[in-house]
Amino acid sequence: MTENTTMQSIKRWLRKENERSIPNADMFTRLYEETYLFVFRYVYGLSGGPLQEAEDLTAETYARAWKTRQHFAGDGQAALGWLLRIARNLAIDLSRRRRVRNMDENAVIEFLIDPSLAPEIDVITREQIAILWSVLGALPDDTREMLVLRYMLGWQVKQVAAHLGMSENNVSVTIRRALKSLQNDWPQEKDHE
Amino acid sequence: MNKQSMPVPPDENKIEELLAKIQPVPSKSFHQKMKAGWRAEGGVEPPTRNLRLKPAFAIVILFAFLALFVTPQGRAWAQELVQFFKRINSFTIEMPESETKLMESMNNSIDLPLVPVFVPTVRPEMAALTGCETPGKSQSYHCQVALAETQLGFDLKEFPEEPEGWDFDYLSFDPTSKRATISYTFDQRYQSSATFTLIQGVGDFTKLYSTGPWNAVPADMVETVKVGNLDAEYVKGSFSSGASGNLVWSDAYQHRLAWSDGTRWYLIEVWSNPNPPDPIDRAGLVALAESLADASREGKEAREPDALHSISDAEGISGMDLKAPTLLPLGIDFESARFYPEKPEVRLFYGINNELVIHQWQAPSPALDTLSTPSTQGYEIIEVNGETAFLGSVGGADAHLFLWWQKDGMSYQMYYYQYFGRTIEKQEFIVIAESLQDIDDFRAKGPPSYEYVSIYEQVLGLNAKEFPAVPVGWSFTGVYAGDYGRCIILSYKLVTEPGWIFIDQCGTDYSYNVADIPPDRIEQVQLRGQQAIYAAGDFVANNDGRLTWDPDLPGQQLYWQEDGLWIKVTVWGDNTLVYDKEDLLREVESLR
Repeated sequence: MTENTTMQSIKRWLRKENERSIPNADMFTRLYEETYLFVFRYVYGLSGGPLQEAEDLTAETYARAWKTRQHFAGDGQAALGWLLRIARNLAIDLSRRRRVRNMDENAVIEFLIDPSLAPEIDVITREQIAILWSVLGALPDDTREMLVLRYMLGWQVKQVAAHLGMSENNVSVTIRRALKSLQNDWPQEKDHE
Repeated sequence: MNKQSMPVPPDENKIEELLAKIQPVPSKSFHQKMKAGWRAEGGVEPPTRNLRLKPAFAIVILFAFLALFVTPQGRAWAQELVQFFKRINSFTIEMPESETKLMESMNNSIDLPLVPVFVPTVRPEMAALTGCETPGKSQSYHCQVALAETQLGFDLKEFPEEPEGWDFDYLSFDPTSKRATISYTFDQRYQSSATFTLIQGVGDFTKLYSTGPWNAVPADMVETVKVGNLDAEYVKGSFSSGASGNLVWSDAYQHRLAWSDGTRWYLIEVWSNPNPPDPIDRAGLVALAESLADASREGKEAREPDALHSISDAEGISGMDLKAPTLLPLGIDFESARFYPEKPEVRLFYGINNELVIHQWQAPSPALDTLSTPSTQGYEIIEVNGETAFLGSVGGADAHLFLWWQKDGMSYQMYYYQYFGRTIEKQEFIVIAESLQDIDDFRAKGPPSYEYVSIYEQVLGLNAKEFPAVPVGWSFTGVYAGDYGRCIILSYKLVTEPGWIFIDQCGTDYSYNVADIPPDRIEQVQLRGQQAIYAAGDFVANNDGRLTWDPDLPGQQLYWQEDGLWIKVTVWGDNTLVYDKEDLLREVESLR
């Protein structure tokens, strides 16, 4: 056995190991429990809602992930990245079907914030979140995805960069520009009855 | 209209803060829909599931066997003629705290110590039989049956052929209670823990088949059938532990058929497993029962490459010079070997769940020594006895260690799968690999010899109490080491009558289950200068599935603590034959 054939054998063994680690229903349940909130928020942020549609897209993400689980190998972070890529494709498909992507203008503020934190968020902040939600829709998809990953999912810039296959610098600059853009698009006044 | 002017647009920091506050949460109905989605999609569970079930089955089988063979709770219950199974009118049964504790203990993680391998020898009475002198031959069906018949004093009923799909596993017998058990496992290639057991005995079936909760049957589940022209009872299903801490009836997993020909009783038990699902049905079971014959099975003593019971058998069939470990994790012993002629390769299996597997094959040239550290996470290059080796550590639900090395033209791969949290460290794994030598280990269905008391004391850090000499009329039958509770268990058996003593000595309160015993049945006694607890009787499952203490059952228990040990002495057997209370206390005083 030469070194080359030995390495080949090790690679075959590693492949076999990967096959062994295909998640079963119990493991998939655990993966779901650990990731569903991230996936749902990602889908909601990317698609702009409404809630029911984001839930459906999230459900479809896991259904597709379950069907194709034998093609996945990796740790927890890799699993989340894999789920988000499936979710992204579904959100893009939806966007194509809808042709125009709009944030859900009727999004009830209570759907946008974690109910457990709701009592701590004052009225003005609530108003601001509602405005921010509506101006987010004006951003290009790629830019909005970065903001969703960075803020709604709480990822670090380097994680966002790794997930999107971009340089950290590129991500940082794009996010800064997006924040500026949101500021520029912010309505100066709003009527309140 | 109340026109209110909003503040100026927030700065970037504020927008970042607001973005981080957008944390939508799905509705309450979402989770149900989600889980139903992939569980319905999933359909068939992948094999890992079955592998994980296997230990559970093995443990359940162990319980059943203990209940069946060890606990002579066999009070003759009031019954009608030809009622083999204990009937109750409930589909749930209370589980005593001791058994709940036992089941829960399997959730704990235990780092198993390494123990020198006990290489059994052929018993003199076996070696005296023609053709049964060597370890490999002594494990054959022919030799096992011959020894049992010699010791029992009667010919066993046997299947004319090995039941299709089943491999002979082992035979055990007890000359004092006149019963024998022939056990088969389903074709081992299927990674199944399915077992098939034929038990036969002389005397009263009901005295030997426990009234304990594991063997009870809801009355509606007993079917009356015929084996030839004999009345028989068939049951599909069994009680198994449920989430509530109770035993819950399940139609899956077990088939039982019991009948009697007037002089001998028979019981066939089949424990199936989802992989493959239910290898036998009621008609098949009855047909097998009807095929039982007096004549001994002829021939077919050739070595089965799929189920080899000794290293020497594996060497004989493969032509390879095999090595086997001389150090093993506690409780992980040689089970079987398998030869794969197409490769060719031999695999050695250790542990009832095949926790440790060692692959060996001839590799003609050096190879691994040229490797550098692989980039893949979790793998590293190390040395095994000076030889370069590839070590892997895989986490997750199928967590295991892997090692690959070569020596003297042979390639070795070793796996350790950590079922039920029974782990070993990487360094111990390497030590096992380095301990491989030329030894003729073989599967021994029995405990190691008495010198293992001191070995277990050392690895478990205990100083166990022992009788200065085996009590008169008794024989030493074995020492067991319990990994979960850090226990050493000594067992003794009456030489001429059914009767057992078990002495559990633990570094934890694992076996110390006095809370199970009703307070009005507990007697406080002085023992070895300590306050001790004595109770006579045992539990029995009532008609409604509740456990009650029956003081008339032939069991006695003693509990006390001494020198950091939690000690429990259990005596089973009629106290006119074994010990009465005073004799038992006197005997236990002699422990040193």
